[in-house]
Amino acid sequence: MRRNIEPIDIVLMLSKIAVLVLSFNLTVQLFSYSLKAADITDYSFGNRNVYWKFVLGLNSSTNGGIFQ
Amino acid sequence: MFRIFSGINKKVQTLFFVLFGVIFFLLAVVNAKRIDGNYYNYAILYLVAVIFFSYLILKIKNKWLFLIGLSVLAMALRSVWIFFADTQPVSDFSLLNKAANLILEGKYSEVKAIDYFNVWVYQLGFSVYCAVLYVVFGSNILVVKIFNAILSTGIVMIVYFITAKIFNEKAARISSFLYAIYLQSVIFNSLLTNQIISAFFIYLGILIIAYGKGWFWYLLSGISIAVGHIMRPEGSFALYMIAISIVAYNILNSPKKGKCSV
Repeated sequence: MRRNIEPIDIVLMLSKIAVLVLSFNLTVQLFSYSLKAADITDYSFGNRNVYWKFVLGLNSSTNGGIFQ
Repeated sequence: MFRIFSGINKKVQTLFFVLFGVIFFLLAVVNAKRIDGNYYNYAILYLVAVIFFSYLILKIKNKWLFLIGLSVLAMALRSVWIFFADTQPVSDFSLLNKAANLILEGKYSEVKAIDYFNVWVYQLGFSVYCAVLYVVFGSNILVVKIFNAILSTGIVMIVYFITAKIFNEKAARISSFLYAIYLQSVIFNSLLTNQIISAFFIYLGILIIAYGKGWFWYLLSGISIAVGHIMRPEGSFALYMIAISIVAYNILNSPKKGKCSV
């Protein structure tokens, strides 16, 4: 019953992941674009302060506060 | 090499789930102790009650009767809480609410002036969702709370169907029951939080993958997880985990004919 993976399985597997990631990314990009098109924000959808949570947030001298 | 993996797979799986359950249970007890030393004693009573009711729900013969009963119970618990706990949004939550109202009134330039949204642009997703709800039902935070309760009940159902597919009926009943009465999943509904709708859509994506077969279902799942990601940026984590599980599943399990292959 058991068999090793054939090349076709790998292609199928990777194509499933690719479809998943592509549709995910397209939807997020579409939302980002429509936010900008509607003039609600000037920036792309995402985090513009990537150091916040783990680098600045854990820094005890900022006391966990925003904009200090 | 893959054969050896398949052999130890079952044991590792069981060990993993047991350890996972024990660790999370201990964490819950530790947290309960930290929050209030007195209520800690009730945890044992709670545990006995949970085990007793978990046993009782397995005795229900009709699957659909159980599902309807569970959704009524979950919805009732959540409705009682959101009407009982009159929480007003503060800090981040009030900012999100303020932005939703500004979007509703079309004052986009004022949203742009808020630094919070210029730094954390992803928070706008939830504000837009709130604004849409406000357009339909009127500007009232109770609307968002009621939708939280509905979506949270939806998560209970999703937990049931995912578990029923991946494990079995018994595990599905117990896990969905546990989620329905889990304190955090009840009391979060009164917050103006993006976590519930985000979790709903991410779990919906996983449900679609668990039941669907072709690539079209992966497309739908990607869209669903993206909606969850727009509400709260946790979808990309789910994406990594799904990708890793697909690879691991294909390596560890040889898919048998007629069985669901993820």
